Amino acid sequence: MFVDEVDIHVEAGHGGRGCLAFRREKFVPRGGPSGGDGGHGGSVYFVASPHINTLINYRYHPKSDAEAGQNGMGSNCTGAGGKDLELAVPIGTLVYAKSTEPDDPEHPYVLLADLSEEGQRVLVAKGGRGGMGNARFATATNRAPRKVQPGEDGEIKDLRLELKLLADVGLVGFPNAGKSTMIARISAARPKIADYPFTTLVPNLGVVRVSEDRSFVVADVPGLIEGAHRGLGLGHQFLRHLERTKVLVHLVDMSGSTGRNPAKIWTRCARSSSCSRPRSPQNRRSSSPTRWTPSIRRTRTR
Amino acid sequence: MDAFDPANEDALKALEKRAKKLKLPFLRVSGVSGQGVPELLEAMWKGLASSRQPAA
Repeated sequence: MFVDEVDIHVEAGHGGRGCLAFRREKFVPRGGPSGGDGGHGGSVYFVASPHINTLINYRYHPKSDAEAGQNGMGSNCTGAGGKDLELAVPIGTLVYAKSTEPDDPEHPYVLLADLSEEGQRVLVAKGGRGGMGNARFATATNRAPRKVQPGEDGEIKDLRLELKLLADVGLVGFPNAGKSTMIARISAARPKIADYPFTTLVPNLGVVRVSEDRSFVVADVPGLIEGAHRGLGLGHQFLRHLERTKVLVHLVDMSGSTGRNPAKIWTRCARSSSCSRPRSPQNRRSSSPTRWTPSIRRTRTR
Repeated sequence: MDAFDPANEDALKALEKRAKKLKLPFLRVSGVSGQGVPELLEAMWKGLASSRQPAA
């Protein structure tokens, strides 16, 4: 199951509490304060992993929390720090945090990070600092302090993860235009292919080898309908996977089975796909899929 | 190739003409028969290569 958008809740670990203790030892009267500091709480990181392709893990486990720091101990022992929590996400994941301004409904989320490179690691919730033990508060005038600090709370965040596939070429076209047939032809991908619209419900990726030293990744997204750039037919969800592509291939079915004018089909499709990503450089090409069809390419670079 | 409807030849030509007008490369391909696919792959690679070149 392909999941490309999830809301999750992460909590960094609390810092450990400082210890209130005094040295008690035979023949050492009034040994002085010996309370150690608390350990720092674990932080929450996201790591871009090439071994994961979907965000499905987070749909079923939307809450994650890092380990809290251990409390300080006597004999000036500092508590152990909490382990950091590393959450693996697919390469191409965008991390958004819920906006702290509730009066801004237009921007409910702000972008925290874009994990576009393998191994990239970003901190999303910082663990709390450990509190100081009473040994830290000893002064010349107060040699037996009974003061300690509690550990600080770790950051708590509500996040939205969005996956934008990292493909070089995107195949776009109306439903049942033959995009899946084409990706199955040019790569080892084996998506479901059938003779009805919207057979493809989730994007498919395939690696194309033009020659031994030339290869690239192609994405096949579900069929677009007119107005997809306005969100119709879940257009936004599909089109965002094309935002990072450098070349778009428009497939136009020339079999005449749809009864529509191919030129109009292409125009509408091109409008939908180009409107969705006005800021990114793009190339465009349209071609025909399962049957004899025309293909068009247009290069537009900002 | 076999699914191509000859009655659509006019539409095909119109589309090709339009592509030329917009200075767009126009390729006839078939995912089923594989006709035109090598040319399409070369065109994709060229498009990628040009987009990867740093702006002067």
